[in-house]
Amino acid sequence: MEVLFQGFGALADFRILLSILVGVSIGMFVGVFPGVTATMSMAIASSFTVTMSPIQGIAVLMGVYIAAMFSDRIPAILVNTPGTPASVATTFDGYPLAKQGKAGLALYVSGLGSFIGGLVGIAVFALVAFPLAQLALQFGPPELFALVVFGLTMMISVSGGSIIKGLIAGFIGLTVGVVGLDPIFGFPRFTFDTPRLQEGVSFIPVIIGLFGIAEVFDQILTRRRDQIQEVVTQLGQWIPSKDEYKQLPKPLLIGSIIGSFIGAIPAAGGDIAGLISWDTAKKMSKRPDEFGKGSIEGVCASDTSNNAVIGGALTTTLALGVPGDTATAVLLGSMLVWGITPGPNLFVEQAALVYSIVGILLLATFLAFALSLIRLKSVVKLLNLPKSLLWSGIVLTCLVGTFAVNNSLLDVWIMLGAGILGLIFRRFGLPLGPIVLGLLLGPLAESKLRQALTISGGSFDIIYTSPIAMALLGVSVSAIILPPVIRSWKLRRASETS
Amino acid sequence: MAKEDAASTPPPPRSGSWIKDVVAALVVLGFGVATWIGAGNFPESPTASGVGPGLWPQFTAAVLVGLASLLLVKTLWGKTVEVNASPINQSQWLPLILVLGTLVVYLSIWPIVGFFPTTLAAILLMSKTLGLTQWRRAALWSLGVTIGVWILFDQLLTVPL
Repeated sequence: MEVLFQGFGALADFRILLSILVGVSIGMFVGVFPGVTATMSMAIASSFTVTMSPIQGIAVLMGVYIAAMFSDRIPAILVNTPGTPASVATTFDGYPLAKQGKAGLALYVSGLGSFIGGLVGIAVFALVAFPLAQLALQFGPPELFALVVFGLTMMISVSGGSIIKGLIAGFIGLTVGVVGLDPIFGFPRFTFDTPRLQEGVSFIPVIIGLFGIAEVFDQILTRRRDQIQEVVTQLGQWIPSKDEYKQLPKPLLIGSIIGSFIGAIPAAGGDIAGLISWDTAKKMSKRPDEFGKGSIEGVCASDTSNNAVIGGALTTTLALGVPGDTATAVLLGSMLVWGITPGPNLFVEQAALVYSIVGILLLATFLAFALSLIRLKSVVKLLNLPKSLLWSGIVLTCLVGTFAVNNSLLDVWIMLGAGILGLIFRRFGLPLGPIVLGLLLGPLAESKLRQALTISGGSFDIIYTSPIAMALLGVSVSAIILPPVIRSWKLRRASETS
Repeated sequence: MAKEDAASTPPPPRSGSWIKDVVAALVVLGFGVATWIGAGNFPESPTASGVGPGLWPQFTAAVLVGLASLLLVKTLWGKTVEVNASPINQSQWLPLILVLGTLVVYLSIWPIVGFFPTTLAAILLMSKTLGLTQWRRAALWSLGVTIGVWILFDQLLTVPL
């Protein structure tokens, strides 16, 4: 109980409250722009948050994350373009509602869903994270190694596209993560006599490059000037009628449950949760025909779940040390820079910090909801901001932000190189998430494997004889093998039927 | 007759993804082989368990070589998975190259000339390259962004620019 008060008490500091406000403001601003994802925003924000105290930095990053997931519904509804991938499902019914003159109603319902979903996610985190961490404290090196493999394969499995390319991306990340001093014997590996590389490849420049610069470069390359987006400017009525309110409890419940569960699966994020929730809400609705044509249940379910994932994702990230999605991978990387190691030991050694994070999440969610209710017509004007201004501003922030990490231009060159590589990977169909996860978790996977083998005298029996490790590895292998097998079986059945 | 027609009909041309997959596979193969060779030069473990600094990188390299080979075989003899990326607008290669060139020059001369003039010039060039037609607007934007970033990083976060 004392730890709880200590954790929440830390938030009484004005600087932390200001950090939450800064983070939420940044998130609300960037979420409006299609193409600027929550991960991208957090990656850029991580560059200047490393100069802050850990709790201030976490407050900014969490504020950005939560607020971006709140405001991404605005372009989804007004322009039929998701502000972040998590709001894809919001476009299905949000834009049709806006075309019917009910943009305000869609914005209100989706905002309410985001708020409720966010609170449910936080409750899940608060209730599940501590017991999960207690369980994970029983894990030894073989189990922790298997857990990392599980997290990596989940990300590959849900990243879409070719499994082989996903695996290649993951192992590229694992290989690049080798650069630096060997964790056990201190032998320099692939440092090419560069002292800077002995600390390893800097994580923050790489993620800014991969998720910031690469994204901008890709948008420049694929941009078409004749793409005209019709922005709905008339918002209409905001508050639902009594009958419309009665439609909301079911999608709120569906979105909350699905979002929290999906968020806990490593690498499965708001986009997957939103789509599954939308589909489930449609199947369970008394008005399924309205879905896709302007159903407030559809809007509500998708936005509730894409905010509920935040709690689930944080649970796996902080309790197990395995990121729940790419955004929490950025958070994890930033925490490592601050010297904080997410994982079960965090809940023992720094339990007060975990409670502070719960408090930050609550404050940021309330603040984001309050801001989202402000009927800013100028928000609509933001959607017409020329891309040339947006991109040049983002690029400069990436460059200077990366420099700010270590006052090193080498980091900036690494970031630029990562950006070029990220663009090439995207064009060749290699997903970026597994690369980042491999880079982040590779050193952990290696050290746990080597510890396990040292204990067993070099024998892999220590892994084979661990039921938890074998269960996790079994699920990992299934996640890789089953999707192509099922796909090929379905194709064969379809061709036999036709 | 139908079978003969089928036999004489040429197969559909391979998609652009085929070439990309072959190139990707070969590059990854080379990367994996280079890593394997490099890690082979690491010393053995001084302890009896035999888990030295080279084990992990050689493991990841071996898997990469295997996966790259699998991708190559699948591409050459099987079906190609279409890359699900937005189509490239060919006219946008030049703006991208110009932006990249601007950034390389910017980073090279920043330590020599200083933050302010180089950043002003770089943002101005980038904004014009990316489609902002009015010089005045581009100049104002460049000035605003440069000052904004300087205030945020140099003044508030005390990062010496």
